[in-house]
Amino acid sequence: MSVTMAAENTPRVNRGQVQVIRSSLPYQILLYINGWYFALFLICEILLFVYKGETLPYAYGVLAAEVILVFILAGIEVLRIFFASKGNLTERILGVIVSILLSIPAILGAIFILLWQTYVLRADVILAAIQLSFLGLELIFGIISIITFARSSPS
Amino acid sequence: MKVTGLVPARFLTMVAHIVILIFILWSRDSNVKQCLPSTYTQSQYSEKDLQLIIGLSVGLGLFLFELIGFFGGITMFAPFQSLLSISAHCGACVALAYFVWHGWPCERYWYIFGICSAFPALTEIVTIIMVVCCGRAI
Repeated sequence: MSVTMAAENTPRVNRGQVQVIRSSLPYQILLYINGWYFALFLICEILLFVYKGETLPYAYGVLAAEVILVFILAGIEVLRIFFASKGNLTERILGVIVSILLSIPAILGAIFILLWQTYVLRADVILAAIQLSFLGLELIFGIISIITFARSSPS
Repeated sequence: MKVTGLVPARFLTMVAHIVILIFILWSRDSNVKQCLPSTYTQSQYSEKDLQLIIGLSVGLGLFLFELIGFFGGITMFAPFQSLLSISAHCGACVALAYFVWHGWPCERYWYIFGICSAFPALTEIVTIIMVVCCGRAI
């Protein structure tokens, strides 16, 4: 994307100049790894909910609501990682901003699993803490890449 | 990138090992009691407890090398080190799950530590040195 844009914008004299890539590699690695980690997180959470549903007493409808919330969190997470990775690779600010906005409900969902659900197991705490640290790191790298893209934009 | 699949597999097995190590650090009471005689004093208990805490903390600390090598991209695409790391951490996860469920005595942790934590960390350091000095990994 950036290569074609540069070819359109720059006059022919500048052909052969070194193309600066502003997409952040650490951000992209984090997003790729976080996608896989969230898959593990989702499977572990579902298995933990199965365990909790089998052994612990729940009020009517609470377990179903919590499981649905975890699935909504999965949908938000898929969208967030998609927008962040596309925004980073195409060097567009909009995608990264959308992913940062989506990371607010993602952080709230992780905090829900960490603190606010009916029964918090130790495994829940560890898994949600790792997910929260991923989210925080991606927030930092997202803001850094927004600054980098905004500086380089011609307007 | 010929080794597709090794990167996420290695990361996921490492995360599983980290999670189960933190879990044992949190609830190690029954394992400590297993390696004490039927009647024990508080000082004996705290001595064994301290040994297990040190073992688990060193096991977590050795992950620092592997995570630096992995996230730094130094050994991310080194196939031999990746396979070794995957198999060691996978074995550690299974063994430590037994350690928790069956309440294994705490001496057995040291075998798991030696084979599944220290060995891949050692080869990781060797691989990092090889990449930095020779420019390529095996």
